[in-house]
Amino acid sequence: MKDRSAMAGSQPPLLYPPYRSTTRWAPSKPLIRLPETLSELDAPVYGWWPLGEADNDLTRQSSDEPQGQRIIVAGRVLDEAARPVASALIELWQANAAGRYCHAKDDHPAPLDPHFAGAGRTITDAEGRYEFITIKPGAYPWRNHDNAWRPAHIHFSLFGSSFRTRLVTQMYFPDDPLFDYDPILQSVHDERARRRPP
Amino acid sequence: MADRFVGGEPITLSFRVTDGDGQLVTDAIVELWQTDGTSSVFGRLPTGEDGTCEFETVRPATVAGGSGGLQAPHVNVCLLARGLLRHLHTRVYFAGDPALAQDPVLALVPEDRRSTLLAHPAPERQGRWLFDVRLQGAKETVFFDV
Ligand SMILES: [Fe+2]
Repeated sequence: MKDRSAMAGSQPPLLYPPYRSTTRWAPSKPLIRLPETLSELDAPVYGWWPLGEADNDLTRQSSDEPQGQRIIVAGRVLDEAARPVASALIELWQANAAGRYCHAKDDHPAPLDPHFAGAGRTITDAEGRYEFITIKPGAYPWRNHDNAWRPAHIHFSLFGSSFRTRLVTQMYFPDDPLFDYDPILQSVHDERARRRPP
Repeated sequence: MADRFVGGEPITLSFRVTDGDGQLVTDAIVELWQTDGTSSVFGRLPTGEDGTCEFETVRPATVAGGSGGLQAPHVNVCLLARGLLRHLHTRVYFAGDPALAQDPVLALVPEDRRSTLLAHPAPERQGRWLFDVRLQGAKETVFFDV
């Protein structure tokens, strides 16, 4: 959960023309740097929405098991000094095994899985660890360019102790042949950052 | 949807998000972080087909401004969307607030762009405020590196 200004090259730029929508959506004027003393606002003192028992097990949120390869996604949340971040809220969302999101805006004609909603959340423990049980998502097509397919990925959203440590990212699976054709992954210029091991 | 607030005047805060072509952004997520005078409040809503979303919240209090001064009442906003490589931070201030002139953050913003950070009262209903988020263009909203 590093400050992005300290991570030149390992965070994507706002404008990356191969990712077409950024040409209309990325702000064209420079961001205005806020001094830290003016941007401190803690996470809600009452905490986040209460977690449900199956929130971190996406295979147990329905009356039956979802289709696809069951996997464990686990890791740690670390700060800029590699110290564990405890009590961070992690949310994830993903497509099902066929590459279809359970979302009204997804019109990819792959089948919906009635037993897979594709969203989960958890809170890191004292050592910054988290764990989800889910199924491996499928690749899916999108309209960015001819024959564009997103490599299989899981979206992550993290909340630390304030809105300054908000983080939104994506997780990929090792050695996907689609990596070189994916402008979202390629928008991170630093090759080591793209491949940074857990 | 900003829940669990304790004090402050109830308001409706309505967002409308448009892109560089003036098109409505219909699948953005707007997150709101503010104080209600006592504690931190968080809310989150998706924009709909009309590019808008509307929070029931409270008008925030003034907060400390770092070097002894005060910041004008404001709401911190985080904007996420498919099509944005990073989320964006902005702030909603309230038009006509006398504290705006002393606000240390507005002072960092070029004068001709400050108006992009103002919510305006809706003409038809008291307590409803309208805030436009323009991702690009002549009246592009000011975004912050926090
Ligand atoms: Fe995705």
